[in-house]
Formats: sequence, structure tokens, C-alpha cells
Amino acid sequence: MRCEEFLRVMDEDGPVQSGDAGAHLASCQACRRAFEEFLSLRRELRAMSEGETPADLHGLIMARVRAEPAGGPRRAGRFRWFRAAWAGPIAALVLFAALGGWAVLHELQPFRKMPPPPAPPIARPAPQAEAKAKAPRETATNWVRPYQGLNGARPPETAPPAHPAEPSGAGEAASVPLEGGAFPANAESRRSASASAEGPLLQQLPTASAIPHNPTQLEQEEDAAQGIFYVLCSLQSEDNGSPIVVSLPATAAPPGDTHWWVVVKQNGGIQITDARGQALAAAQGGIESVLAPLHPSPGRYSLQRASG
Amino acid sequence: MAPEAVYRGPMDRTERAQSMPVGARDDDGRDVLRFREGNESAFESLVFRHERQLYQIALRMLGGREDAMEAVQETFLRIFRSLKDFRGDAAFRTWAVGILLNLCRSRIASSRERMRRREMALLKVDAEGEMSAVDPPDQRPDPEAATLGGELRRALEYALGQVSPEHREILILREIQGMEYEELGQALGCAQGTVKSRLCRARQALREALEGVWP
Repeated sequence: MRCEEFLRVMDEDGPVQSGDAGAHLASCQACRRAFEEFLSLRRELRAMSEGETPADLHGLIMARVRAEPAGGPRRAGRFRWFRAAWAGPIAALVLFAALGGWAVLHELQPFRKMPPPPAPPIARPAPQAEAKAKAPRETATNWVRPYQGLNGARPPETAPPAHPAEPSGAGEAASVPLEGGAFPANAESRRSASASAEGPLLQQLPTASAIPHNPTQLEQEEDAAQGIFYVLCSLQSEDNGSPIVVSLPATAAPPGDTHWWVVVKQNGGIQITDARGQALAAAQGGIESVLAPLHPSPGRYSLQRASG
Repeated sequence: MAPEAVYRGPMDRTERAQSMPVGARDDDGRDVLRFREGNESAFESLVFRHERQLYQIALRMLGGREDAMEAVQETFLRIFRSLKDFRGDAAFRTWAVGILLNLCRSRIASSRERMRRREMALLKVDAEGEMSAVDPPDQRPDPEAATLGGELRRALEYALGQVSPEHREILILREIQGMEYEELGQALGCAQGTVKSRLCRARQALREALEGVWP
């Protein structure tokens, strides 16, 4: 037996003085010295187990045990069974409830971000209101009303009267081909966009061609992005010197320094002619769609680009 | 891992009795059965029988009387709470020692953290502004005095305090308490081969710690 092996087995349970270990111990002085040292150390260590125990230890232990609730171990056992059996289902239930709550909140989120409900639809002008609406057509200053947006069409009492020469129904007006096309087409697109977004009620409202178009700056910018540009024009009555400024689609505005004539007939019809009295069929539709809703008083007006 | 009380489902009285072939034949087994039948004085018998040994183990592991007493009280409290579910796979003493060792490990870990904080608080700042640890007082026993009765014990206690808790616990259980390999394996939760190799390394560590103080 080698020394390393002896040192490994000298602690084995049982006598090491017999067999191979004993023979090696008898022949190897170094291992004998190591073994004696080991036994000495163990003797001292075993002696350490004979220390005194504090006199109050037993009383302290039993005091803590008796402080446990009566029947503690049995009751604890029952509750442990309860915990073991129900811990899984309860945890699953809590998790399910948490996920459900999160899902509900998640679903409600888009509703919080929804825009405010649309304004209540405006009723179509009654025939009496149409008749009454003709009353303010006394001066040219009454023509231009603030642009109220496609959805914010004028109140019934100010609704435009149906032009005898023009289609009066909403559907009909939308189907009329307009010359100069860009503005009406754009307005129509706005109307249909609004109609599709806000439901069939808006389809009862006046069509784009019946709405005065004095587009706001923002709307002009939006149209400019689609290639539709506006030109500020001055509309001046021969009878009344106060000019009215309107925004006309560039395709329907007089070119350069020229001016056109706008004749409003007694029946409300509008005719556009150049300085020589030639009808301007190309600009007719665009200008008419802007001016007709303004209900201009019958007479002759000069239309030209506004200075500045 | 030491065999803490493991819950394996409720047992009826017959099953409990059959589950303790070893314990039923010795005093511990009888007391455990009596306790399960509602005789709580049987638990005090178990305390009488084992409190001294558990205290000695805790004292060597933790190094302080108060800590050892606290650990033993907590151990018996845990035993009291879970004795009903003790199945007797190991001897009661082995099971109790395993619980005590777990408690001691937790206390050692937390006291190490406290010591680390204390050392940080004892850092000294020299004239150059450099921080360094305050030199601890030398607690090593005098080698010459160690040959005298009480000093030899003190040298061993010092050396035991120097080795790692893992080596200390196996030295205490084997060399001081004289537990067999099989029981050591059950208390420490490892195989007998592991017990032997760990014990060999622990003895080597103890010899190194005794270098210069052991005569």
C-alpha cells in the first residue's frame, strides 16, 4: 500500500491497523507519525463535544414551542394541505383575471382616443325657409358668409334657394359636370369623405356645389398639396362700389390684369363673360359654383384678380 | 441539501406507523409516534434527548453562545411544526441536524454580510487620502501556550473558525460528533463518496489553519 492510499483510508470506519493498512503503518514511519497526529487531533476534537449546555436552553425551547397556537402542528398540516391543493388553481385564477382585466383595458383604449361625436345633422332647408332666405339678398356685402366647413353647412334659414336653372337636389348637383373642375372635384371629395366618415345623414346636406367656397388658409394648403390653387378675386357691383373678395380656383379666375363680367339674372342664373361680352364657358362652372351659393342680387358685377 | 421536512401528502395513522420502520424501534421513533397521537409531552422528551448535541454543533458552527441558543430554539420550533409529516426516511437525529445546519448556513451568510459592512465602516484614511482596512487585532493563540490544557482547545476552535463553513460542518459532524458516513450523507444531502472527499479536503484545510499554532 502506498502512503497516499493509506492516508485516504486511515479515517475509514473500522480498524486500520489490520490488513494492508496495518502492514504499511508498521513499515512507514512518516505515515505512522501522520496517523498519530490524526488520532491526537481527533481526540482533542471529540473532547470539544463535551461542553456544557446553557441551563436555560431547555426552558427557552419549550417556551417557544408552547407559544405556538394550540394544536399547531395539526392545524398547520390542514392548512398546508389546503395550500398544496389550491395554490395552483388560485394562482391560475388570479393570472386569468389579471390578463382579462388587461385585455378589457386594452380594448377600451381606442374608444378613449375617439374624436368627439359629430355635430348634430342639420335639417334640409324647408320650402318656407328657402323663401325666407331670399330676403337678405339686398347688398353684395351679404353674399359672402364665413366658410363653415363642409359639415357645418349654414343653418336652414340661410340655406341657398334652389336655382331654377340649376339642379336643386343634392344628388343632382353632385352629378353636374363642372368646368374648370379642380375645385368642385376637390370639394366633392371632401364631401364624400365626410359623408363616408359620418354616415348617411350627411348625404342629406347641401352638396359641395351649393356651399359657398371661401376656403380657409388651411384648406387652401390642403388643396395646394393636391395641385389645386386659389386666386383672390374682387367682385364689384356696378351699383354698389364695395368690392367683395372671394377665393376662386385658379382655373376659374380671370387671367392677369383682365376682368370678367358676372351677370346675375333675376331668376338667379349666373353668366360669365369677358370684357367683350363673350361667354366664358370654361370658367362658367367654377365661378358659378362659388357665387351661386352666395345668392348675389341681380345685376352686373366686375370680377378681377384682387390687387396685392 | 440537507433533508428538510418534505411534505408528501397527508398520511393516516396506519401509514404513519408503517412509514417509520426505524424510528418505531428506538426512543425517538416512539416519541414521534406519541406526539402524532396527540401526546405533546413526547416532544419534550425529544428536546431533552437532542438539545445538547444540537447546541454543541450550533456553537461550533456559529462561534457564539447566543447565536447557538437562538439557532437551537428555532430548530426545535421547526421540528415541532413539521414533525407530523416526518416520514422517518432518516433517523430523527439526522433530520434534526439537517434542519439545524440549514439554519446555521443562513445565519453565517447574513453575518458575513454584516461583517463585510463592518469592515467597510472600519476603513481608515491615511494622510494621502488613501483608504485601507484597520488592522484587526491578532487573535491567534500562542503556540507555546497551546501546549497547555485550555489553550489547545482554543487553538482548535480558532482553526475551526478559519475553515470554510462547508468544511467546518463536516468536521464538526464527523470529528466532534462522531457521525457515520451514511448519516453524514443524509444530514448533508450528498453521497458517501462526496462525504469522503469533502472530509479529506476539510482535514487538509484544518491542518493548514493549525499551522504554527498546533504543537
